[in-house]
Amino acid sequence: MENRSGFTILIADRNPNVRDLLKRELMSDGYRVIPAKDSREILKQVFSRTPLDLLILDPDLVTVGDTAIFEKLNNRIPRLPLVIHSFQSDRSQYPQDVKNVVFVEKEGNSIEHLKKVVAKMLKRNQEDSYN
Amino acid sequence: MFNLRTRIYSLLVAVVVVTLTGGFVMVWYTYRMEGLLNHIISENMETLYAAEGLEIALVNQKGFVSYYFLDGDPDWLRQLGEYRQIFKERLEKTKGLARTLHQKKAVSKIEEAYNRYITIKDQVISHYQRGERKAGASLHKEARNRFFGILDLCERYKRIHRKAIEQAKKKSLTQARNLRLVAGTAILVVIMLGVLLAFVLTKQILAPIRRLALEADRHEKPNETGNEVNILSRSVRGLIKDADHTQAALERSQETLLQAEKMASVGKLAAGMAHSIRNPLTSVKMRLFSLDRTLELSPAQQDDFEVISGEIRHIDTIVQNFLEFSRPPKLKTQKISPSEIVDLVLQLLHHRLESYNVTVTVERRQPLPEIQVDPEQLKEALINILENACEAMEGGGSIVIHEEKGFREPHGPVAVIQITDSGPGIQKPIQNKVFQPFFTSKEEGTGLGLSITSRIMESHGGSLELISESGKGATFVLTLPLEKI
Repeated sequence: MENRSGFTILIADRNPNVRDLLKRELMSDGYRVIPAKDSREILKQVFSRTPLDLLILDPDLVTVGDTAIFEKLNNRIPRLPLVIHSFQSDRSQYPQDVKNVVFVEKEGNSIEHLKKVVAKMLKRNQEDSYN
Repeated sequence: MFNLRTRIYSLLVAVVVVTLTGGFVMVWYTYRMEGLLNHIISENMETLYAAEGLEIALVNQKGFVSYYFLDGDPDWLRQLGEYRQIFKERLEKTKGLARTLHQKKAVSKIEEAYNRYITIKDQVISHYQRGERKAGASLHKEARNRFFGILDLCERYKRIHRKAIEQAKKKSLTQARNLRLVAGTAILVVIMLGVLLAFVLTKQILAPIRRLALEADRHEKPNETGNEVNILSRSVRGLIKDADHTQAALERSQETLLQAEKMASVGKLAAGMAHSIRNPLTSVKMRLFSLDRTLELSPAQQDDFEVISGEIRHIDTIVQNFLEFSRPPKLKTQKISPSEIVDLVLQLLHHRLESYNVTVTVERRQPLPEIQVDPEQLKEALINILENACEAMEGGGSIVIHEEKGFREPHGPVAVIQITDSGPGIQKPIQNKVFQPFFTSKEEGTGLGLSITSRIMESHGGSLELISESGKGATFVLTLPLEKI
């Protein structure tokens, strides 16, 4: 297993069981994982001292009804890699064709694909920051 | 002041009364004239003739005594006696005809004078018979004077009757003039009443009827001539028909509206429910996947596990359909031939069709023209229908896809895709229901497939129809307008 201990990932999903599963899976891959249940907790983490490397977000959060969260995130950490983990049918509601934003369809078996995308994005982001 | 009916009836009654009165007056007058003439003829004329006869009989007595004086022939006296007899008869007749006192007096005056004259004349004759010619001649002169006196009396008596006749004539002329006056007045009154009646009929019945007919008649030529009542009744019939149609259309639209409202609320409910279910369901699916990676199960456990997974997939499909039904995606159209989409769908379903043991034939002379459609949605519509057909034909069968250009009301020129299967068909009682949401005849159906398909066609400005007879397969007709959507 690669050593990814340096990366901190914020997971935001309204469903605690989904959060727990993602946390377990990603932690088993060696990431540091912080769960967030709503946009308030996301913003709290974003504005805390802990540096974030990546955000996995299902925008269908309890307190998010609009795209304000994307603006706030972009204002605070413009280059934060963002994985939107949501349903295909809702995809059109979210930002598309934006750098550092990747959409992963939420499905029963999406966990493997999600892990690959996360690894790829972190790697690319790391390379970008070195250059 | 009075209502129209009263006015028309009074005018009609007036016209009839005046006309009848005029007629009765005329008839009465003819009788009256007849009576008058009869009176004149029977009384005055007869009396006049009698007086004339009397006069002639008198005149006829003249000369006989003179002839006797000249030749002494007693035959002259015999003849004189005859004429005296005639005069006497006529005098009696004239007496009998005299009606008024005046007339009677005149006649008796004549009789009196005559008697005296006869007496003198007889004396003259006896003088002559005795040969006293001189005494006879002088008396004869007096007799002659008396004779002229009687003649004058007769003449006067005649004049009385002539005068009476003149008066009767004058009276009848006056009456005729009066009658002419009455008849002329009646004619004038009838003309006036007739004009008034015509005016009332035209102004207050015919013109309003014509106006009403023109207003009510929206389809016919406005300058059409003809019976106003016919035009009006035709228009009213048309209006009644229109009203019936409108009523029927209204009822239909009310029904549709009610259905739409029901569907909207059901849709909202379904969307909310699907949205809520989807989240935990995905979590379950994720956990199942995770479990599947590590679990080592006995065959029976494996079977349970697969059934659970399968049923969860089914629930997921239902939820997806609910969501799609309640939140139809926006059309992303592009110019493409529907034939191309048919080919693409057949490619996509190739394996599935094989597994159902279904063969598909495409009847196409040339590809359908390119039109603005959302390829993804049209694909979904075709897939829904093809999958339904496959599921309906247990143990396999055949599907014919027939493409053609055509003309359909109300779309105009259209592209038509007919999909016919060799399955058992759809029974008449449920043919209308198959397009209703949540209606399904399948064990694992959601009842939304055809409903979604129908809506996809409608959102393209087209339609989806079903033609089926039980036992003879089912044909779904997808119609897309060729002109822009």
